[in-house]
Amino acid sequence: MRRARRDAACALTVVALAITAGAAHGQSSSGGFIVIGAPGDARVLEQRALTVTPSGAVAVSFHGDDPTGCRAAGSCGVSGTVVWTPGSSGFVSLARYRVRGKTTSEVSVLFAGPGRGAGVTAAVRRRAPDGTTQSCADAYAPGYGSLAATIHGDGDRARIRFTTGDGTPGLDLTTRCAGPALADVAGVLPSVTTSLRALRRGRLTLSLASDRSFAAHGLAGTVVSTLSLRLGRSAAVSTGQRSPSSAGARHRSLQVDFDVARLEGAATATVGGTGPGCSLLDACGLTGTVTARPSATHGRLELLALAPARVSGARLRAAVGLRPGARPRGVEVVGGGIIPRGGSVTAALSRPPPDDAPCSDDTVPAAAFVSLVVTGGRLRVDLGGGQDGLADPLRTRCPGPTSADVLGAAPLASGSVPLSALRHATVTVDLARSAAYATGGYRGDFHAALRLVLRRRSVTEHVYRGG
Amino acid sequence: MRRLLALSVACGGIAWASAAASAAAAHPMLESTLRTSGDVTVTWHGDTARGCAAMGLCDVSGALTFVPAPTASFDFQRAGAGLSPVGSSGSGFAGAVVRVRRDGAGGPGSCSEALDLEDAGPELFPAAGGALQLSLGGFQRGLSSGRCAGPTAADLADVLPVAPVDAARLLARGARLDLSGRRPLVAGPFSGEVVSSLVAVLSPLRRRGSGGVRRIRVSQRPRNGGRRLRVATRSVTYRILPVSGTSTSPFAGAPAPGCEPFDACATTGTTTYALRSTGGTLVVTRVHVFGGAAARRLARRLGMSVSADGAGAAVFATLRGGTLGVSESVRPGGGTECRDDAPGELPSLDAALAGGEVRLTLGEYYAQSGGGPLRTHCPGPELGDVLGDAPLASGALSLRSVGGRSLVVGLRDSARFSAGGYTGTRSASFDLRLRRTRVSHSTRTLVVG
Repeated sequence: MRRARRDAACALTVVALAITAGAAHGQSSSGGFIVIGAPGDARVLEQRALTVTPSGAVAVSFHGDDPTGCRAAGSCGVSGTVVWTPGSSGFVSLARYRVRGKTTSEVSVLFAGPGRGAGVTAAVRRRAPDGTTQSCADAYAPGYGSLAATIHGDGDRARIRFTTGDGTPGLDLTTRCAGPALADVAGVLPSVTTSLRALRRGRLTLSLASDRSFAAHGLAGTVVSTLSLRLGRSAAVSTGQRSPSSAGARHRSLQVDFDVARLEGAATATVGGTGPGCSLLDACGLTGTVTARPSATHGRLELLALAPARVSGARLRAAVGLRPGARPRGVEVVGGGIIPRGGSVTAALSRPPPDDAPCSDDTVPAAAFVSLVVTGGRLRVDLGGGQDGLADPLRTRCPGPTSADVLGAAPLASGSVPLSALRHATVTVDLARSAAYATGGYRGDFHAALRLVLRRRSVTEHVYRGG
Repeated sequence: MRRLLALSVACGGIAWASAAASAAAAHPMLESTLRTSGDVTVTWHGDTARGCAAMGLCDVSGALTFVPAPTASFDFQRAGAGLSPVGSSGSGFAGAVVRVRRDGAGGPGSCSEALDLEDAGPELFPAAGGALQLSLGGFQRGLSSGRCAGPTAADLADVLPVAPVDAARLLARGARLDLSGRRPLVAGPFSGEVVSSLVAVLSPLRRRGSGGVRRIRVSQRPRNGGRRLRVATRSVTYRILPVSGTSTSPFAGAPAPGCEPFDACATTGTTTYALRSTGGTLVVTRVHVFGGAAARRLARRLGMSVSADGAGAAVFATLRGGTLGVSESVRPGGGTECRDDAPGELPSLDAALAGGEVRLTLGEYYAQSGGGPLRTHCPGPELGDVLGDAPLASGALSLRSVGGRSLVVGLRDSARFSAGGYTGTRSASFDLRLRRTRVSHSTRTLVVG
């Protein structure tokens, strides 16, 4: 079972390969395969894969809305459209597994990107005090999107909707233009209900067409979907789970689970719209700050040491800092987890006079991925970042740079502690980053000072057979 | 690949995967890490002095911002006193965003697009005098304004800055390359500027742990005499006479919301891809493989299509000299008409055997690469949107008719498309007129290792 967890990070790649190598040719895959999102102690009953050819798009059209507070937010003169277009292909994973006597089925749809015209684009207009109309046009790739459904028990109906494993909507609407936050439209995003039996057969088309309205935080409008998914043939794929008697070398694993006791602090980007790209973003002269204050008092991280079974448990403990001693050769240490969304992201942006409608916003930051890396006798902790595949941690309803503009490929903040610090029940890691940025019409500075407090929850050791 | 394999086996020679690898196989690999910061922004606007009025593009202004992959790793081997780059790998994504504003009749409208840069990455090239040259974006499709109005890939082919890298200095202490600067841009009816704030830092070279490059033998001289395959062949060579033809695609903006990102709503237009080629060659080789089932299996491994009685065939086709031009007429948002044309590269002509026919495919490459950068300065669908995963056109020639003095093969295509904010139809017609030039017979024994 530990093997299944270890493979989780590779699951999407494996699924994609299985689709490419097997399903596309009407064959079953013989490669290793795990259930996305299934608990580590799940017994996989069935795993199927289907190719999907998406068409259409999801468009969010919006305008400033007085009843929901556009005056306070400075968005009364704003209107526009944000369109998410899926990549030209994708795949569907259908899994059924049993945990502690209960059966659960999961369906997930992932789109390959960026592809032809895929990603998120925005066309936003702003009525300026002088009566002119200014416009912001932007595009952002990859603009991920994922759909999923979870069916408990032996039911056959699956409601497939935009969602991710951490419970947030599985759609990226990030651009540099003003627009609604994903949470504002989460309740009206398209979904489709279908039967698991039909999915197992494959060769069907799912329509997610819808037209629904929303109003929140100074913006109101509609979400129109013309999204349609043409599913190909369904093919069974190997679960990758082996019987206890199956062949393979013996391995030993040591898993250290941490509870997130506290995440606090702030990360602030100063924003200045300038440079040759600012005019088409309606950003020239825009100044202010965007401050993320992620806050968490729960969440789970894990650190996993893996080695051949001949390596003792004591040496694995040394590899993850629980005992003194150097990290033995042949021990692989990986770790990470997701910190749930919480805290705030605030934007306070203004334009030079005569513009009298500064944009201010306060929203909740997205969940953040935490990476744990053991290197040189220390545990390095990287928090979030512009390209971790989760939602943008600096995104608000105001215009402004993306976290990829500000951070590039770097994490939101990083820090490290000596491995010996893990001998204590509580580990405190200070995370920081300071950098200047200048790209895509914006420039400014970024400064993060955060503190992550972890509390060791459990240490478990297993010996297993496997590849 | 099969053709290559068969060729190398037939020649009994040795093919190496990489000339660079074979030249320096014994040397340890060196590695340098590249870190980049900054971006390149290209801005443009319709310029009356450059004829924008005649093309209906005077009300257009736009910008393209390119951000290279933040890090990359280069592998080198020593080549005399210098260095030979043997590979690279990127980390993080390169990104490019196009933003275009259209004012005037039918406006205002805005078109934006995130370009697909999956294949973009920094590259190091050998340059004169043992030096190296760094390019921060190697693109198969090229930087362009995409589906929006603006410069084409040909206009922007040289827009990204390149910098010489001193190999000796790189060996000693790495290199910091200032690629910043600004220069004017002229691109068809547009004038503008290229502004770069790029800085690239190459770390000092260090030894890679994994040792040198290994030689890969694709084929070798047969050991123990190898296996012998006796084959009789009859080849018929045709000259393909000069070819012309068109693929025409009337299009319109897709229904909202799909049209909105590309300012394509209420847009109508027509794109025509016109082929002009001086001709080419088609060779059809009928084979007979002597021997039993094992010989036939071996022949099939070499790429020959062989039936149970030992009869088979192989085909080869190519076009030489010419272009595939694109011309476009479009009314963005129902406003001012934009007309433009641009030359493009000659598409490939591929031949394959299927069901007793020679299948001829024009532009198979487009189907595999997503269409390529064939665009005009007007807004509109890309070739990949129009073709999807299909080639430009295809047709078939019965194997029975091969040998005739003159043949005509019609390459056709007709389909609907809906992609990239546009919907429309495509209709292609190209006639290949073939004239037989040579018939040859032979019987030979191939030694297969």
